[in-house]
Amino acid sequence: MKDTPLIVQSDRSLLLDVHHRDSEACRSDLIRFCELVKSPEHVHTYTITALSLYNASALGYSTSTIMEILDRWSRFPIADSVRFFVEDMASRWGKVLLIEHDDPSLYVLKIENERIRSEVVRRPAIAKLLRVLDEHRFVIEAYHRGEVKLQMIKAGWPVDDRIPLSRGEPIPMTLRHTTAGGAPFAVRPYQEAAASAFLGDLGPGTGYGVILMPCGSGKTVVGMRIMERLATRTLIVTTNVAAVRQWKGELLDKSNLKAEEIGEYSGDRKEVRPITICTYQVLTWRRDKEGPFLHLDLLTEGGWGLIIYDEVHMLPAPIFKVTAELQAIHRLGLTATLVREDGRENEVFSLVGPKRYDVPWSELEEQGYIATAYCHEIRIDLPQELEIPYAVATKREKYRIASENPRKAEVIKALLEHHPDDFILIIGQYLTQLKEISELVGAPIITGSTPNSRRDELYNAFREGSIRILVVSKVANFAIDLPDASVAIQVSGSFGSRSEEAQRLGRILRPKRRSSFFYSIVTRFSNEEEFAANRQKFLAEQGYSYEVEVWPN
Amino acid sequence: MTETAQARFETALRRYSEENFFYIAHNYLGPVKSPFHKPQVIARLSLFFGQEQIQNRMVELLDSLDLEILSLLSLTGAIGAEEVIDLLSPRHDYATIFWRLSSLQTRLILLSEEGRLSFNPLIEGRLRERCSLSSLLGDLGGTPIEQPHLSVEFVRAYLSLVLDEQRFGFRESHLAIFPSFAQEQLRHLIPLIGDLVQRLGVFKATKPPRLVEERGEALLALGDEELFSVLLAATMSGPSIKAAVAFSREVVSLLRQAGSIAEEALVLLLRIISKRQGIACPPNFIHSMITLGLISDGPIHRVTTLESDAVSDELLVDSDFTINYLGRRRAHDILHRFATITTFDVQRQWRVSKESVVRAFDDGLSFPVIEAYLASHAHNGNGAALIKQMALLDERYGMLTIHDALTLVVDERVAHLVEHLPALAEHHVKKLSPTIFLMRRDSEKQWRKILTDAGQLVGSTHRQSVVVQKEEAINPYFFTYIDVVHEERTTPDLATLRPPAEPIIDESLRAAITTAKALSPVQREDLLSRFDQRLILSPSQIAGQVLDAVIEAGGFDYQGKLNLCRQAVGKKHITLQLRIDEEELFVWALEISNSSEGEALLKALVLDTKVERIIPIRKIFTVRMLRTQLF
Repeated sequence: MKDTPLIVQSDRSLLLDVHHRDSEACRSDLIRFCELVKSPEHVHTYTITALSLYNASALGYSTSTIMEILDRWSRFPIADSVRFFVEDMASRWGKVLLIEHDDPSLYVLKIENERIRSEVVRRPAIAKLLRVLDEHRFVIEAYHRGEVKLQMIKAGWPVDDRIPLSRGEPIPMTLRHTTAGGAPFAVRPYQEAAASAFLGDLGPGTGYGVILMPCGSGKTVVGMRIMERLATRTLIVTTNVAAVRQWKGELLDKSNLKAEEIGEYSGDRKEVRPITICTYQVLTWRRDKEGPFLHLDLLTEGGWGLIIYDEVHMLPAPIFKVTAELQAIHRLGLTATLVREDGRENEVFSLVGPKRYDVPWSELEEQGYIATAYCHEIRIDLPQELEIPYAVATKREKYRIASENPRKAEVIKALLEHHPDDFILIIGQYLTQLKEISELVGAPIITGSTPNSRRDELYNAFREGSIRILVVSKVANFAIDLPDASVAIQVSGSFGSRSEEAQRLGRILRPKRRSSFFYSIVTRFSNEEEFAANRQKFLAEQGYSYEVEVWPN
Repeated sequence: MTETAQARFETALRRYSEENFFYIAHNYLGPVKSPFHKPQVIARLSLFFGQEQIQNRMVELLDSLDLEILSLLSLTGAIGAEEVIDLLSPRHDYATIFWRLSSLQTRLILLSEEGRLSFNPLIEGRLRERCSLSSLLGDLGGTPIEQPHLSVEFVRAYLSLVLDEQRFGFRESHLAIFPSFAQEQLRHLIPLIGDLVQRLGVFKATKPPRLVEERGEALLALGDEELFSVLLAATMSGPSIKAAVAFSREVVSLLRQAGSIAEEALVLLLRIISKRQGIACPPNFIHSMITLGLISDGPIHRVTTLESDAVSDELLVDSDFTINYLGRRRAHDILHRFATITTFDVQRQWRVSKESVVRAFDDGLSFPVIEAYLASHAHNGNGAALIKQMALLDERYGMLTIHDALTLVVDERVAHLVEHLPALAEHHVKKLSPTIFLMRRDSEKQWRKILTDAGQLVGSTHRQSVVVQKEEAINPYFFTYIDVVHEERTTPDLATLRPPAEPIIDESLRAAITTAKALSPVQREDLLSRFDQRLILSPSQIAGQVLDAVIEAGGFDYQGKLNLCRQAVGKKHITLQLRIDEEELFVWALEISNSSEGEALLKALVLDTKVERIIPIRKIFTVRMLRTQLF
């Protein structure tokens, strides 16, 4: 047994002992050809997938380099099955090429190998998209580029896409060294690394993909850095109007873009400018259930050189299809939590692009780029008068009764007293409950029905410090930047949503002088406990551990 | 040469028939003139074979078939010639082994003691030194390979799976849990282990299955080799447990020694060990060994390395409540009782869940025990969060308890009696109130009697329904397996590899025979023939005599053939070699009779088939009389 930090399992999962002195060096080698699966406190799990090997091959990493890295870091001899997989998958790269055709509406799929060619033409899902050009080449329609690549990956033959992505109309943009607000500004090393991982050498096979970074670690800055390097017409799609305005504010604050160069395409305004920011909601809006998506053309007809999908895990199904057709454009997905309860994570990778950068939350916390957060789960009994209604309720009703446990109010009050100087978010799922809490603590409330102008007003007041406590519904789950918030009290949530829990924690992760506290109030001995346990899974895998406390009766 | 060895040697010679004895005496001592004194001749033979140079020559002249037979006998111990022939018959034809055994006895390498072949005690040590597994089993010495196999840690993981899934069989999800195992192997291994642990009574036959903890613990306290032995023994039905375990232990031990083995040699090895242990090897035994991962599949079976993993004292409890360790846990570990395996590979990964902890509580594992275990095993005390979660669960678990018991309602006076009568103490389950007690259902008869004896009037039990208590029948012999596997091993000490044997022929001896004066051509030819048979060890044996005269009749010499057959009747030291058409038979002549037409018939026992045949003399083309040194 060698004194090295890595254990390579037969199922191609790699276990990294993060306390080993060489773990950081090992990690930086692994991320070239592995995907991070989870990063709890002690043992981080990476995995080698076909996709991660294809991407490594695309970036020029040979099988021998990969095996040399594994051999160097592995404590134990590596199973033959792992070697075989690496060699087999990596050898598949470059066998199928996608190259340009004289007619710009067409591309050429070149397959020299007879066996692969015959395998491909026997697959109806691919064959229907191909026209034979000659013995080794097929022609495909340009708009089938994404679909062909997707199907070829499913067939186990990744396409080496040699067609450069469209550069779009040039829009010069430079990031400032001092923000418009007068603060010093620089792209952090990991942000630069993420941007570089995405852009590579700007050649074929680069310029599309997903970047995973913890909430509060500055994904927007990564997006802006990529915009700066591509300097092209850009569409940014995000989750809500508040986030649209945050993006706009950040761009104006940290780049040399002028207000008139940045358009807002939302329910309120329909501005299409060199840099346009819109919401998923407006793109998928239609008059009725059967009607057409009236604004979806913005994606395809804006002449964009770059599309940024903020909080890409939220990508709605109608956009999946359109994204498949946008293969000629640089595509960047940003998220902290690529966990979808519908299990469509892989489709996001297929359509937007592979995971290009992922960093353990704990690492950024150690380096001080995100706040240290302490998570607490406070369990409180149901009042006796609700025990019988709870016992006879359906599962869904039980969850609601438990979530709206009126005794949670006493916990909230105590917590507010415990944090007299903190900026506090009280986050919940049920509006009635939130309104009651809002009245109880005398704090303003933001819900889905709060007009955007009112939301902006309240968020700004919170940022400026004139409001210390905000009660918010799930509208504030994502993409809302409230730098000074240091305490979040979660009174209820969407059943077992793992990403929601992480995103809510993310609201208080902006680095600040004080530590952050995340409280989740859960009704004891109810099914809310089970949902809470499920909600906590993602964060547990990121190394957060919940201190469980029982609230005295 | 010890006195005991010499005495055994002389006793064996003394028992030889006159024909065999004198053949040996004449061969090794030269012509022995009458009148003779047999003890004196025996003493001379003993002296001859006691010489070191003679013993060296005997050993130098061994060839590979000799060593194959000797190695076989070193494993089986003394057995009859027919048993040797039977064991080696798939590999060699009957006549080859038959004559070679005869030769080994004539060369006094082997002696016959009470019908069993054993090593010449004078040179037993030297002979054993030349024996090896490779001489017997052919090409060996492939180094053991690392391949997924049954191990104590595997069983630990499996036990947790049964507890978690409440079933014994294979599930597709197991492929992800045991990624290093080939799909086909796992599809067979899981049901086999399931079957074996049920057979051994490691689980109670309840629904859901309940672990019999002391049995689980005993199984997990074994080493991997012992575990193989126990489980392979459990696949055998019929023989005694002791013999089955001894058989399996020897198989495992010798296979580990061999490193690799051809299919045919493995079958031979199993037959040999079966013979040693006096049991029949089940037909699926090889398949079971492959399934358990002791050997690889294929024409050459490679034996798995069973190097014991390093003991891991520390558990790494992570924030997502996964528990990791490398290697193996110590005996009496309890992890499998409150956690479930998620990945069984280089690193073992377990998961603690609400269900797994409740299951542990249900099985009587208390929270304080788990807490103490985690506190002492978790690396740097990092199990604190997990312990806290379990403590809360334990509190909740304790809020509701279902007892299967009888309610005893009494008045205050009797309550005092029930509470304080020492004999009743063990029958209490719980005191519900000052006058209501829960009493054990299974000891109702006893506590009723105690109450009656104490002067109470004990009426009938008011029952709402009849509770039928099912007797749980589990294998009562589980611990016999465990005890036997710990007994001292009796497998003979046999080297693994020896270089192939090439007999060293002393050509100077041949030259001496060729050039010896005073030998008639027939005598010289006879001596050279015995030299080729490796019967001439010393120049002192070069003497003018004929011992191996060819006695043969054939063709139209009907009377000659008949006479030879008649001479051989009833003599086991004479074998007749008959040629009938294209057939060649080796037979013992039993009887000569005449048919109703007056034709002479030979009734003979065909040696390889052990079938009696009646052969008309006229049908025999040639008959040859052969001396057989089978005693």
